[in-house]
Amino acid sequence: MLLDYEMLRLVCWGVLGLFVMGFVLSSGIEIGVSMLLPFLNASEPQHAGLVARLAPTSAGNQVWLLVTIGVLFAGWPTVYAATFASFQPLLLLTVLSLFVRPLGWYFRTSVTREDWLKKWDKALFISGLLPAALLGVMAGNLLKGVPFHLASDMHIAFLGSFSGLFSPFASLVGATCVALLTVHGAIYLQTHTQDALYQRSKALAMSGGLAFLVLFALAGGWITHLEGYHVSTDIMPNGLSNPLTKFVKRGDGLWLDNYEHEPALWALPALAFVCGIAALVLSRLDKAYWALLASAVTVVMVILTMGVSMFPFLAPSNISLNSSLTIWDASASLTSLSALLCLTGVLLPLMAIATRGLYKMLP
Amino acid sequence: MISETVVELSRAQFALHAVQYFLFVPLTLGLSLLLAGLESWFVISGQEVYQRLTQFWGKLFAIGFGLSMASSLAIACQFGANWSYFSHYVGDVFAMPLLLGFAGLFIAANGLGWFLFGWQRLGKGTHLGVTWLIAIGCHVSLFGFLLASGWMQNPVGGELNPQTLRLELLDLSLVLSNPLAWAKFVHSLLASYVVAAGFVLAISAYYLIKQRETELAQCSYRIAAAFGLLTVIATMAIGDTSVYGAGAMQHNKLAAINGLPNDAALEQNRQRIGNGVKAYALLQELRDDKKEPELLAAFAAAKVDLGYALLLKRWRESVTDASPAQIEQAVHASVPATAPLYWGYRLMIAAGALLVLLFLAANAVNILGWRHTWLFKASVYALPLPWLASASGWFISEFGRQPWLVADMLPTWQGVSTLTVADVAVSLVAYGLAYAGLLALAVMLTLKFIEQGSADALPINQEPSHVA
Repeated sequence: MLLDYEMLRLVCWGVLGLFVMGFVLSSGIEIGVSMLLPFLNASEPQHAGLVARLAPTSAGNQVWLLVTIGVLFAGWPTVYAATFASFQPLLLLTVLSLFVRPLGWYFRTSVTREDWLKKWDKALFISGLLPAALLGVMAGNLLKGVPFHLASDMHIAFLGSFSGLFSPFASLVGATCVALLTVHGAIYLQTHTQDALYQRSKALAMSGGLAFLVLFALAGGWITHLEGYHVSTDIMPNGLSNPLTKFVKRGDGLWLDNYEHEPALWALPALAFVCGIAALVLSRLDKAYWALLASAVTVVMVILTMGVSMFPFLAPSNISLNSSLTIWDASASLTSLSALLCLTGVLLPLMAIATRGLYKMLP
Repeated sequence: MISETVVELSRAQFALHAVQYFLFVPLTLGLSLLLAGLESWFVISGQEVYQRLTQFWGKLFAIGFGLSMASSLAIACQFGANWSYFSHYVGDVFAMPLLLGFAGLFIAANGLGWFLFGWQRLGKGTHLGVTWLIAIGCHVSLFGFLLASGWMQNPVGGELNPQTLRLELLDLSLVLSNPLAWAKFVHSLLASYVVAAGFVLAISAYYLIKQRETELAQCSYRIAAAFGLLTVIATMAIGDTSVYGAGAMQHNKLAAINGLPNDAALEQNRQRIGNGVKAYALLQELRDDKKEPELLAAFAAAKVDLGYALLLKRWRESVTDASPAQIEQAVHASVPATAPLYWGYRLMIAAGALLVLLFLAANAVNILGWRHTWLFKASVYALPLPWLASASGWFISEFGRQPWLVADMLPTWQGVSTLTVADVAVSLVAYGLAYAGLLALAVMLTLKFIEQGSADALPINQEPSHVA
C-alpha cells in the first residue's frame, strides 16, 4: 500500500472535489444557457442554433453528476446516506427537472409547432433554474448543518422538514449559485454568438456578474457570524470510520478556523472574487475567451472555498453535534478507498478529456 | 420502530424506477450493438443504405438512451434518499460496482454526442470507433449495475466490522468475479438483445405492411430475425438458474418457482434465527469494547447468521428479548411468497417460447419467402413480448430475494430511511407522473420518427450557421 489511511482519505476528498468541479464546469454552461434562453430575445433559428450547439454535450454532462454521486457513495457511504435522505425533497425536484434534459435538447426541434417549441423552452428554463438553485440550497444547508441523528446502532434519524431546508442563509447560497452559473452561461454565449445576440449576452453577463459579486460577498460576510462546527476532541485521521467517537462544538464564525490556522487559504475566496471581477472586465473588453477562462476559475475557487471552510466536515449535524460526519470518521474502508482511487484515477482524466474534446468538436 | 407504510412505499418507489430502467436499458443496450454492427458493415462494404439504417435506428436509440439516463439518475439518488440504512450498511462494498456502471454510462453518453452530431465532422473510421465506444459503454454500464444487483443476491467479498457496524470490503476481486452476478449479466445481456431484435422486427414489419421504406425495412427485418432467433434460444438455453442452489436463499427461490413445499427451509431458518440472536448479543458485548479472544471467536463463529437476528427487528426492537411467538412470525416471513414466483416464472417461459416461434416465423419469411401480411402483423403485435419476458425475469429475481434486501445479511425492513409517510408518498406520485410523461413523450417521438422514416436523418439541425 502506497498511501496510508490518512493520506488516502485526504486524496479521495480531493478527487471528490475534482468531480464536483467537473460537473459544475461542464453542466454549468448548459444550465446557465438554459436559464438565459427566455431573456435572449433571440429568433427561432437562433434558438435552434444554440440548442444544436449544446445538445451533444448534454448527456455526458449529466453523467458527471451521476459519477459524482457514485464517488460520494463509494468514498463516504454514510455521508451519502445521511445527506441524500435529508435532502430527499430537494433531490426529487432536482432529478425531475433534470429529466427534461438531454431529451429536451435532442428533440426540441423535432416538431416545429410553435406551442411545442414554447413549452420546451419553458421546460428547459426550469431544468436550468431548479437544479442550479436547489444544488446551491443543498450546499447552504451543508454549511448550516443538517438535522440528522446517528443512533448507537448507526440507524439515521431524520428530523428536518421541507420548509426548514430553505433557511435564509441556504436560500442566499442558492441565489449565489444561480447568479454564478448565469454569468458562466452568458460568457459562454458571448464566445459563440455575434451581433445583437452577442451584445445581449454581454449585457446579461454584466448584470449576472454584479449580482454574483454582491451575493458572494454577502454570503462571505454572513459566514463570519454563522455558526460553524469544530471537532473538539483529538482527531484520528487513521482511525476506524465510526462517527460517534468524537465530540463536536458549535460556535459563531468557527468556519473561519481553518483560515486562522493557515492564512494562505484566504487566497481562495480572494481569487474567487478577483477572478469574478476579471471575468466581467474581460467580457466588457470583448475578450470573451479569456473571460470564460476567468469565470471557470471563479467557479473552481468558489467550490474550493466551500470545501476548505468546512474541512474536515462533510455533513455536520445541527441537532446532534456529535453525529456530524467528517472525511476522517465517515469514510469507506481502506481497501475500498484504494479501489476507489484506482478507478477514479483512470476515470477522471478520461472524462475530462472526452468532455473537452466534445465541446471542441462543435463549431 | 419502522413504519410498515414507509417500507411498502419505498419498495413501490424502487420498483417504479426499476421498471422504467428495465423498459429502456435492454432496448438501448441491444440497439447499441446493432448500431455498431450496421455501421461497421457500412464502412466495410461502402453501401450507403447501411449508413441510413444506422442513422435511423440511432435516432430511436437516442430516445431510449435519454429515458434510461433519467431512470439511472433517479436510482443513483434513490439508495441514499430512501434506503439510507442499506447505503450505510453495505455501501463500502456495494457502491464500487455501481460506480463502474456510471463510468460505462459516461462512455456511452459522451459517445452519443459525437455519434449524433459528428456525422459530418468526423472521419468514417473515427465515427465508427465512437459507435463501438457507445456499445462498449452500454455493456460496461449494464455489467456494473448487474454486478451490484447480483451482489445483493450473493453478497461476497465483504465482512462485518463490529466497530463500524457495517460491511467492509475485503477483496474486490471476489465482488468482480461473483459467479451469480456474471450469470445474471450474461442472461440479461442476451435478453436485452432479444428486446432490441423484437423492437427492430416490429418497426420493420410495420413498414413492410405499409410498403414504405422497403429497402430499409427489409434489411432491418432480415437482421433482426436472425439476431433475435439466435439470442432468444441462447437466453433460454443458458438461463441464469445454473448457479442457483449455491446459497440457501437461492434454494428457497427455486423451491418457490417450482411450487415445492419449504418446510425444511423454514426449520433451517428457525435455527439460523436462534443462532443469529446469539451473534447479536455477542455483538453488543463487543461494541462495549470488550475484546476477550473467546468473545471474538464466539462472534466469528455465529456472525454468518447475524442477519437472521435482524429479521426479528420487524416485530421486536431488542431482538434478544423476542418471544417464541415473535420468532415464529419471523420464521414464517423468512421465505418469499410462492404464488407470484410460480406464475412469474411461467409467464417468462411462455413469453420466451412465443418469441422462439415468432423469430422462427420471421426467418421463414426471409428464407422461404412466406411474405404473408399476417406474419408481419404478428411481428408488430408481438412488440411487448420481449419486454414482458425481461420484466418477469427481473421480478422473479428481485421478488425472490424477499424478505432480504441483501441475502442473509440485511432484511428489506431494516434498509429503509426513516422518512415520513408523506415524504415517500409524494415522491412516489411525482416520479410516477414524471415517468408517465416521459413514456408518453418517448412513444410520441418514436411514432413521429417512424412516420418520418429515414428521410430526415438527424434529430436536429446539424449546422447552426444561422446563429447571427
